[in-house]
Amino acid sequence: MKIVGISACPAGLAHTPMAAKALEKAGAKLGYDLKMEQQGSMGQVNAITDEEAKTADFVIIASDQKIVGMERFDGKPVIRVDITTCIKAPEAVIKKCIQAVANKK
Amino acid sequence: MLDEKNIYLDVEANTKEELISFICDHAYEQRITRDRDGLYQDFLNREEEFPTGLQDGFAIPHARSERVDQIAIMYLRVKNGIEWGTLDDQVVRYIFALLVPAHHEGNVHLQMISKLATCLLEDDFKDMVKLSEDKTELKKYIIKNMEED
Repeated sequence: MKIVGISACPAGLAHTPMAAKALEKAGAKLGYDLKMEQQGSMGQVNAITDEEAKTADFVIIASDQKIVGMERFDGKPVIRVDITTCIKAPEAVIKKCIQAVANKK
Repeated sequence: MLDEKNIYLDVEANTKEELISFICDHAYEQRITRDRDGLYQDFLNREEEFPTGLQDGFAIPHARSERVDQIAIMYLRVKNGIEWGTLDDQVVRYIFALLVPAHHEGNVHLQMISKLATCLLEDDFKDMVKLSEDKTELKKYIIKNMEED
């Protein structure tokens, strides 16, 4: 399972990196290849390449903000989740997303 | 960016507003802002948009605005827990206040704030900043963790 995602918050200072780190750690623990891009105060950090976007099974958007570069994920299942939930319960978020994508298919 | 004089270990504040007021008074004294009341409003606006409470008693109120003249971090510990709006519904006792100018140039300090935020996911880090009574040690420890990759 290959998962990519983007986190973004209003000020871009703290919740953005926290959610990204929390999801990456949880992804590793659950045994998934999970990469998070941060769109925060420093612009795009750890950007998802077109290649990575293409090979991903689905996309997690941890934000209610406008996201840059969504066209990378055309045709992919995209799931929007609350950024603070990602900080609080990252494993549960990943599991739920996987289930949601499986149900769609 | 984080100085011993920006560490306050026994703050008497019973509400979020009192604590933010305390932060703004000290930001004004230390010339981090020239507009104390404007800064106060910036903090409250951010809290209204979305409370900055985390888990385990931590919160990270922040202002990224024109009212901030120089980037700074404050660490505050309050005597009594404050109702804040946190992810686990616990009261807040440990606070990192982040003050960033609206058009801050250069990524070094932003990178450090980003690192500080991710440190708050680590139990070791949280335990240390909860318990230490030594401001010099706290300052060293927090900065070391903000600089590590």
